[in-house]
This record gives sequence, structure tokens and C-alpha cells, in this order.
Amino acid sequence: MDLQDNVQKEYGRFEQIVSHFLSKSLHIILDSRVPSIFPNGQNPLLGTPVKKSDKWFTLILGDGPACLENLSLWHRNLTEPMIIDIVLVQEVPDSSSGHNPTITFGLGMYVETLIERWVVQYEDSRTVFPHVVESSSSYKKTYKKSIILLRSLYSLMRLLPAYRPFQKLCSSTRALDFDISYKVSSFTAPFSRKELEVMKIHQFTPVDAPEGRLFISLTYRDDLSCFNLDTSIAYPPQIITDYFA
Amino acid sequence: MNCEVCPLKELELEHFEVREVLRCVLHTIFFHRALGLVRPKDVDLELFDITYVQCGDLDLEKKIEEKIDQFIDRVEKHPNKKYQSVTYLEIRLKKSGNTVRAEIVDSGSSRLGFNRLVFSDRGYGFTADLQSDSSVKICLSFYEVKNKPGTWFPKKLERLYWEQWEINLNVVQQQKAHSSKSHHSKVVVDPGESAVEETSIRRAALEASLREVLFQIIKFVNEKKDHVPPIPNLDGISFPYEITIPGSSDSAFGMDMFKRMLQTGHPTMLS
Repeated sequence: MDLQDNVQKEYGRFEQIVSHFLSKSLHIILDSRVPSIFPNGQNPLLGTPVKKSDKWFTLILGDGPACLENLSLWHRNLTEPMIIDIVLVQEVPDSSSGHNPTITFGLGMYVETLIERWVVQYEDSRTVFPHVVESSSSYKKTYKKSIILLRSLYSLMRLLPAYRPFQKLCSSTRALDFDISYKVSSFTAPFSRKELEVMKIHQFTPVDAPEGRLFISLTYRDDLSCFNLDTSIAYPPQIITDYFA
Repeated sequence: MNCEVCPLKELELEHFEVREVLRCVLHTIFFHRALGLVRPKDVDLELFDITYVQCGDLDLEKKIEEKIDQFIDRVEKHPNKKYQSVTYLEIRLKKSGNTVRAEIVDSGSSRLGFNRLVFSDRGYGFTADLQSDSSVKICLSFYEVKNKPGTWFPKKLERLYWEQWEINLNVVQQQKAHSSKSHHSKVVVDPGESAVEETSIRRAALEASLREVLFQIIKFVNEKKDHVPPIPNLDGISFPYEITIPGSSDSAFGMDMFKRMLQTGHPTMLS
């Protein structure tokens, strides 16, 4: 059945687009928030050959973090949301400071604060009777619009408040009293009312797809000034007893 | 096909800020319209705390710089509202409660209109900045080249514009005016500190406006995607474009009067 073959072929191409869309989104987000997962630096060198996988959505980002390789194994159901939490981890001077430490290590107390939550999802709107794909160009339109959406995601990452602490982590030669980590999941507890009071929401216009739509949304803290991220750790002076001139 | 037009919020800036601001806005638009294969390049502005993205296309970078050079050259050659040096003005202070207002009058005691009078009340000190404005709209358009209908031989090609961006810049030229000390009042001019403070306020406002413009670009490219044609070229800059600098608008009010006053008026003391 040629028609049935065409439909399956089209849907196969579309599944590829969705799968790579999730992976590229994750790469873009982590690339500009979590320096620690890119030990060799993020920017791909000019002149280095571009891998086929990196050409997706015509945006060359270079090698991705290790978690990207596992994404396809973990995220088998394409309609499940991919939720990326960006977490500010801050060292607390002492336990009497009034903070509520959530992690205790040997030497210090740390507080984790969620500063951004990204939700990347493909919503499947197929009904009982799936309609036939109009033409072979429909997945091409979806792909073109996805390119534009990912471009704007890339730009927006650099305009949001969380980009500044990321830049500080990348460029600082001294130890800082904070770090940025992340969590990826397909389900998470909703925000409390108190948390939502200090957060803003940004939604990208969804990209229509033959059987649904792709969308990206963000809930984020638009003011990070209360975290005093401009300070660095001041180590007390120490006498080096075995110093040789 | 519809031509989608996006007029961007007007940015008020000084001459030395033009290059950075234009680079930022133009490159940001191109990054969202260069749908071929690109290696994005992050650029931190020197004058503002903003990072924008370039496509990493050297030809495009060169063409943008050429256009910016043309624009700056044009602004320098045709400032329109450039002041002659101000030697003297009569400035009257009127106090109402805790507010001090400054009113500039000419020697004939008729009120002059200026584009803008900015002053700060710092007790007994103030500066008055008289500004002349030059508003310019730079257009970045994307188009397709098609055969003109109805023509067969010779074939004629026409440009079908599908998107136009309007970058509105208001290039401000400032000149300081100082009050003269009068035996009737104890006004003391303190231009240094207040000038620094004003510059700082103005710079912060421009940064916020520039950020708004970048968000405006992102919003527009997200909301309007249907009019974008199929991608013809999978390498870098995919669509043909043109950057034009139409005639500037004349936004001054009363400038001719002011120039006449400078030529014919005589100094008067503060009243």
C-alpha cells in the first residue's frame, strides 16, 4: 500500500525530528547554564569537522554532555515532557544564618534553589482516525519552524538572569561560593504558591506538527540579586611551613 | 505572500553608542533568519551588560560593518541639529514647595521651545542639557527573487519582500549649558557630579531599552513563522536581504528660533 507506506515514512521522519528536537533543546539549555558538564569547553573549534548529529536544526553546538547520549534510552516515550531544572547551589556560611540547608557535606552547608524550570514537550493530538499527511513538505515546514524556535531559545538563554552566574562560573579564576547543577525528569511536583510569587513564566509559541505540536515553556526567577552571587570565597591566609624558595 | 513588518522600539543613544547597538540588533535579527548551517558566536557588548549571538558568518559580519560605517558617516555629515557652541543663556529658577523648575528664556522674554530640557535638582546646583535629536529608521528587509509575471523576453526578475524590520534610532547630541551666578541668588553650578549621574541613568535606560528590543525580536520571530519561505540555501545566510537607511526625520522644535537667538541675543543676568 503506497499511501500507507508514505504515511509511515512521513511519521518516521517526524519522530526523528521530535527526538532530535528534545536532544538539541537539552543541549542548548545545559550549554549555557552548567559549565561543569563540559570539561573541555563548550565552543566547537572553527575548522573542526562537524558531526552529522550536530547538523540537526542547522545549529552547530559541538560535543554535548554525556547525558545526551543516554537521553534516547531514558526518554523512550516522545510524548512525555522533558523537564529540566536549573538549580543554584550555594554555600551557607553557618547554620545560624537563617537558611534552610538541604544538603550537608563534611565541611559546609549548601542550599539548593531552583532558578529555572524548562519544559520541552511534544503534545500528540492524534485522534482515533489519524488524518493522512497532506504532502511530503509538511514535516519540512515543521522542521523549518523548529529551527526558528531553537534559534530563539539559544538567544533567550543569554538574556535571562541565570546567564550571569553561569558566565561568572566560566570565567572566574577564583573559587566561588556557588555552583549551578541540573536535574532532568519527566515528572516533577508543581510549584507551591510561595515559589510562584517570585517566578515569571515565558512560553514560546508552539510549532504545529502533523500530529500535534512542539512546545517549550519556562518558569524562572527574574531577580537573582538576593543570592549575592558577586562574592567569591575568601580563604583565610595560611602559613606554608614547608615552602622552599 | 504577506510582507510582515516589525517596527522595533525606538532607541535613544549617543553617537559613540551607535556601532555597538546597531551591531547587536542587526546580528540578532540575522541569527534568527540565517536558517542555514551556522556555528553561533556569543558576543558580550562592551558598553552594556548584554550578550547577543552572531551567526559566525564572516561575509555577513563584513557587510554589517560596512552598513554601520555608512550610517555613522551619514550621521556625522548630516547632523541636522548640531548646536553651535552655547555661550550664554538666561535661566530662571522657580521654586514651588520643594521642587525647583528651570525655565529657559531668550533675551526677549519669550519662551523657547526645545526638544528636551533635562535638569536635576541637587539643592542649589543644576545643569541644563539642551538636546538636539536626529531620528533615523534603518530597514532590514528579506525578499525572494521571482520572475516578474507577464514578462517573457527579456525575463525580468522582481523582488518579493516577505519581511521588513524597522530599527528606529534617535541619535542624541548633547551640549551643556551653565547658569551664570547672579547677585540675586546663590545658585552654584556643579556640573561634574550630576553629569556623571545623568550619564549613568541614561546608560541604564538605554540598556533596558536595548534588552526590550532583543526580546521584541525573539517574540516576533516566534509568533510569526508562516510567512517565512522555504529555505533555499542550507549554508549560513539562507535568504537574500538588503539594509537601507531612509531619510531621517526632522524632530526639532524651535531650533531655528534658538539659532537666531544665539546670533542676535545678548547676555542677561539671572533674575
